[in-house]
Amino acid sequence: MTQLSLILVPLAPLVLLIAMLVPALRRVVPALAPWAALPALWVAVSPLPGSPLHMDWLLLGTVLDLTETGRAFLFFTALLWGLATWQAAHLLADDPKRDRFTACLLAAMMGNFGLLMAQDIASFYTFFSAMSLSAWGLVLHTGGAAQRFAGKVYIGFAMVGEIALFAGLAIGAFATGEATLSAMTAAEVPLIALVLASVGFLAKLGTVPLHLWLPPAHSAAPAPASAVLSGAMLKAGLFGLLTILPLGSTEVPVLGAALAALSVAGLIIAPALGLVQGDAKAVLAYSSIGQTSLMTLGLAVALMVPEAWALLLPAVTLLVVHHGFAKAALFLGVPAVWSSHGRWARAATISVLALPALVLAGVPWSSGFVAKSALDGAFEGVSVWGEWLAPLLLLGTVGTSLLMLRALVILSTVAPKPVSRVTGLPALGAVGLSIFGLWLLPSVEIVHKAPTWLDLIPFAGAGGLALLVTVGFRWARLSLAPLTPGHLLAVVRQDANPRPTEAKQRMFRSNRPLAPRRSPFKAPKPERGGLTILGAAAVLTLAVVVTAFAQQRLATPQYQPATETVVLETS
Amino acid sequence: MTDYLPLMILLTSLGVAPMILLLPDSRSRVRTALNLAAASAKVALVAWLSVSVASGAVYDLRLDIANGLELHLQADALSVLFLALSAVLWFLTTVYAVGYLEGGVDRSRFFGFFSLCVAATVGIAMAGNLFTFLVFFEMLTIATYPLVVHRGTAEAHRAGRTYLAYTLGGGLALTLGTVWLYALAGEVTFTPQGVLGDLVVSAPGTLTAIFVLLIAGVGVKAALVPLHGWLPLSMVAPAPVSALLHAVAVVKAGAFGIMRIVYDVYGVESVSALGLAMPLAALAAVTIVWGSLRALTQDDLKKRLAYSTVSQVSYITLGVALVSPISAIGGLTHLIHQGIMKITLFLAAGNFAEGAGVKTVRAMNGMGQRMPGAMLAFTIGALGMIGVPPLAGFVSKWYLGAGGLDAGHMTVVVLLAGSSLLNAAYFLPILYRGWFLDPSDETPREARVGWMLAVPPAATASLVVAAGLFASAPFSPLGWTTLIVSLEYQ
Repeated sequence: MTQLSLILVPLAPLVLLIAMLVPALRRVVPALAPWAALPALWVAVSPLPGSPLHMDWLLLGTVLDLTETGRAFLFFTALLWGLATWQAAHLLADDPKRDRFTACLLAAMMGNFGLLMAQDIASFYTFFSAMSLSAWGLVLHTGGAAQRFAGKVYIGFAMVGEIALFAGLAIGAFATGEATLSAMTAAEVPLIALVLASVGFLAKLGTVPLHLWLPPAHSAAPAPASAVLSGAMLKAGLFGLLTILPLGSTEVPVLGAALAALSVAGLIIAPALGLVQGDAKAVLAYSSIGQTSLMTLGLAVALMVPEAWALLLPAVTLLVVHHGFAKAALFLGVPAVWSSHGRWARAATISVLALPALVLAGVPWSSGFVAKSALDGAFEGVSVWGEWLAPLLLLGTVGTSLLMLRALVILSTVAPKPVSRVTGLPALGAVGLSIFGLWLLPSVEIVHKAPTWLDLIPFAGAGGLALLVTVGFRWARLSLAPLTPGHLLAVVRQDANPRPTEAKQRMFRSNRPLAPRRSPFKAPKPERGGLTILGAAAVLTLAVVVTAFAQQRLATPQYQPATETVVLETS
Repeated sequence: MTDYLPLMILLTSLGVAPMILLLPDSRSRVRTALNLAAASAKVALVAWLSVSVASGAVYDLRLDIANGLELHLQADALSVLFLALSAVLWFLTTVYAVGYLEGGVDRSRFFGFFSLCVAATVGIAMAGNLFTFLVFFEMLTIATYPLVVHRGTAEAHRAGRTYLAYTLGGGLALTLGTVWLYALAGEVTFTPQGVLGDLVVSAPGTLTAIFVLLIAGVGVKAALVPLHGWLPLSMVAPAPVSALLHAVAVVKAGAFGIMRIVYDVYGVESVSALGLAMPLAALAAVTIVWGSLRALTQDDLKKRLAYSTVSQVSYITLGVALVSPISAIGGLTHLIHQGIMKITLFLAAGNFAEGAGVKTVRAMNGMGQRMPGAMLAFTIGALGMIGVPPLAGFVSKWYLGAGGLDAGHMTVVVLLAGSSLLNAAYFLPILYRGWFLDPSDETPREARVGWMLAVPPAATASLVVAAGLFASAPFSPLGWTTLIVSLEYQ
């Protein structure tokens, strides 16, 4: 494969995007969009190019190349984008705003492909923000109140993430004097640069506490958009972390401990809040938070014990790929459920969708088990938090199983919608990939332990628990009042502008002085997004100041294990 | 012949101005022909000049008008930077203005002063000493006034009075400073690394006072807080005037003046030796934040853009004041980048007002459906302002951030991050309304403007993309400023 074919990968969606400027071509672009993923897939399965492609005239000097890790990411990303754009072409065939959606989809696709190959900071940041910003359009697309809310939260987090990333990369690039992204792993990069850049990537990955945008956005976006958002675009954040953190070379216990704490929080929060959701896509989104927390746990361990990285990297990669396929299959399956009318058709659809759900939970003899046991194997013999890692994995498995059950139960009851049956085909493709995809993956060696019947115990436990709760609810005649996604943010609400005058109402109610008054529902105004961003800006500034201060105060230039580490080990 | 190239560039606009002023209002074809011919001639001449300056040619024209006081035109790399910006944008704005004012009244007056305004800008760009700079700077003040009050309404006259009060006050400070400096140092010819020599040691107090006077003088036009009050008011002017005021003429003349004073009168070493760099940088930082905060609350589209200018132009001042070659590249590049981004925004806003009667942020709903072309241009301009790559604004911000670190101030990165967030907070809602909200049912779906209004914003938007995407190409703004900075920081 020549280096020149690398440029085709982001160029294919870009060409289609530019073609949309011509009104006559807009009608055919959606049908062509899946083919734009073809160059990416071709590059991913071809041998590596060997030497990078330099384009000094582009931006601040662009360098494209494909690493082994990038290749694995490009492989599943290309497949997911192909399937999602295929479904979008059919699902939104009659949507009056279809052109806008297609344009956003293509721009995000270009960004997602490009960032996996960009080696220099400027082009990486370009692709990354192209993806982030156009995903805003995907979240907002349907245009209801939920979408407006989700869009506001999404863009707030995305902008804060972008700018933290910009600051981190700028500080890092200045410290090393190099424009390449991989130079961020060098020893002279200050800790604050790593922290800021990581904040940017963790916001994309949806790590607690930067996950708040994720459930509303996934539940608000159209199904194919949620599929790529969860399957591919979140992973871009992880890919960024893999690239900039000094994994396998330097110990950074401060970051490692912080990342571990966030991952544990994610593993707990995901099932706790996901199970009480009423929307299948929100449940799936919470399960994404749990799964990405497992991945960041792997990175956290590698930051503590660099020598474990040799085993952790393939394990994390497998986890990423398997989650990408399975989660995309479930999201793409939502329209397939809509299109299945009648009891038997519905039952058949749900049982097909149960396959990726089982895979995601990691039942023995599935690709999910392969990935999780690889992680388990990599954790064995790790000197930090040794006794804590296995229970955490177990927590992840049980949590995911419960979430999958909940998602399937909700899906089996959703009302049918007039959707073309063809929309089910991409879902079927994704189901197939979720079962066999791991073995098609180029360049990652799969080592895992053989499953035994004992490995079924967590799943039996999860099933039993679910059964027990269901029976208990029936017996006590309880039912669940589901939370809305992003409930934590809904706690805060804004006053109307200008404040409604309530003088007349007060006179009218004077005989009931204690009656609670409800302010009328206000349509959200986009200007208020400014307040979200402002608040976030204040937090970011504070974080920078505190970190800079703390960094100065740290007695020795070497990274000493911080107190957090000690707490985790002794507790 | 070629020695007189700077003079010819000046005359392309200075010469046609009286002709246009004397034309009867009804002769619109002749006027348009004159305007466009002059604007095209200037673009061609400036292109010629830049090529020859790049290959090392020196232009130096002097005219002695009194004992020791001379009008001095020169063309160095810094002049060419500003000249290229004004020539290209003048051409596009002329096309736009012809379309915008079609059928209007007092067009001869408008285009006459429009040409004078550009002549003054060109003069400022090529001024070879402080006296010449002052002459053209004051000429700019006077030439702009009729453009600001062009509409003739009471509001326009009020804005015009405020404008005059601010800029004439600034002019007074600049004149005082100039006279004082001439008395102290004799002829002040613009020279890289300054002309002060030993005076920094012998008269630091006086030099500080003169610096404050000079910066206050040019700071009014550069809209440094607290001297920025006239700018949002002047938004009553017609769209092409606002566009040119913000992107090229007045505001940029102020920023360019700061560059000349810091680089070529005092020199960076003297400025930092006198301890003047940090206060200037702090003032720029305050302006950046204050302008953005005020922009957040503006509902009037042009006012929001005006406050955004207040904030963005101070990036240039910041880049100059940080006294680092990297930040200087950022600041100088932003002179061009802010110009092309802001003119795109103003021209698009003019199209919204002209084609659909939309003048407020609140009314922007559904503009993406009603005027997709103008909305796309506006989007590119706005994203560029936020600093989204690969657009022009990203390049300037990248260099400014690195420059701040180079100067040893981590706070600059925090400032840039905060400012970018604020930019996002006041630009993204407009994009959100334009692309993702539907227009109310009464409004007509289609709104159109003629090609003379549609093409210029599209052209400047393409420039915004190209300036970022091909930043590393030799004749890009970035490439050119790197050349200038290598001369100043030798």
